[in-house]
Amino acid sequence: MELEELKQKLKQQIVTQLKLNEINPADIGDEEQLFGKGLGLDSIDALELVVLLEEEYGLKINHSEDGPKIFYSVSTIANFILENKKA
Amino acid sequence: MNSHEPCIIQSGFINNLGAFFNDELLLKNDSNDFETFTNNLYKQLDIKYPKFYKMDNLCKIGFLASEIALKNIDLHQKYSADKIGIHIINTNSSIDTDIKYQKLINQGTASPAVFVYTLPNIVIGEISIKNNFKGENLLMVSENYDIELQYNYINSLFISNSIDACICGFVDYTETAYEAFFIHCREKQYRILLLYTPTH
Repeated sequence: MELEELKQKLKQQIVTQLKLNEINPADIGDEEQLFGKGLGLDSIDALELVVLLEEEYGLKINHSEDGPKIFYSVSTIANFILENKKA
Repeated sequence: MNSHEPCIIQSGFINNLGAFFNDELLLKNDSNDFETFTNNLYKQLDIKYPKFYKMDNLCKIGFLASEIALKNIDLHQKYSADKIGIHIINTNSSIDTDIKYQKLINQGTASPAVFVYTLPNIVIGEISIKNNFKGENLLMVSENYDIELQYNYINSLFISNSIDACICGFVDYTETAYEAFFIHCREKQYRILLLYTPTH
């Protein structure tokens, strides 16, 4: 799957999985911060994203300290998926 | 006003028939679909709180009923946050979400977002966070809605100056029936209107 296609898919999955009913997936910027300001996700959302990566992409985050970097934005998640799928 | 008369009280009530503010019908439940009904009510009440969509069903009706009971009122204008309490009685605990979570476990999957709602008192947390209430709070799981027990407990909080205002009531959700009722009351020595009986 190409990077652009993956990013669009991730935006849709984030909105659905995290029940962000008032957000249009297309309105999420590729580089937009997901936690804190930006989309304002919380710690439970982070755990849901971990589950999403495991169940949809078969990927685990082996070091919890990598989480903030991986989940910073849609782009960083997409890059993590592509890099680790290739490995 | 006599100090033993009920103080200014508003109520919010939701069941499968609709949503009511005091005796006024706010929204009739025309669909038999809980999600459609509660989403429509959320929009009608003009609430801006996207986290609503993440709540489980028990929290959704408790949250919406509390919003109705607090309609057009800002308790913070008169009371400090740590003097505003919440008291809820519930009969079926978080059974609806417990069943959903058990099904996920049986399927070998997990959902932290479902797991966090496998406690009934989360509804108090949702209301407290939304309204910045930091006073005494308690949810009691009881076979029946014991309004005398609720009255005595809240009255003791008023008399001991633990709270100056509170919302209290009954919130319950099962797959077949749901109901939420809140009254907002304030000042000491109020008297709960002993009129309410849960319909299920």
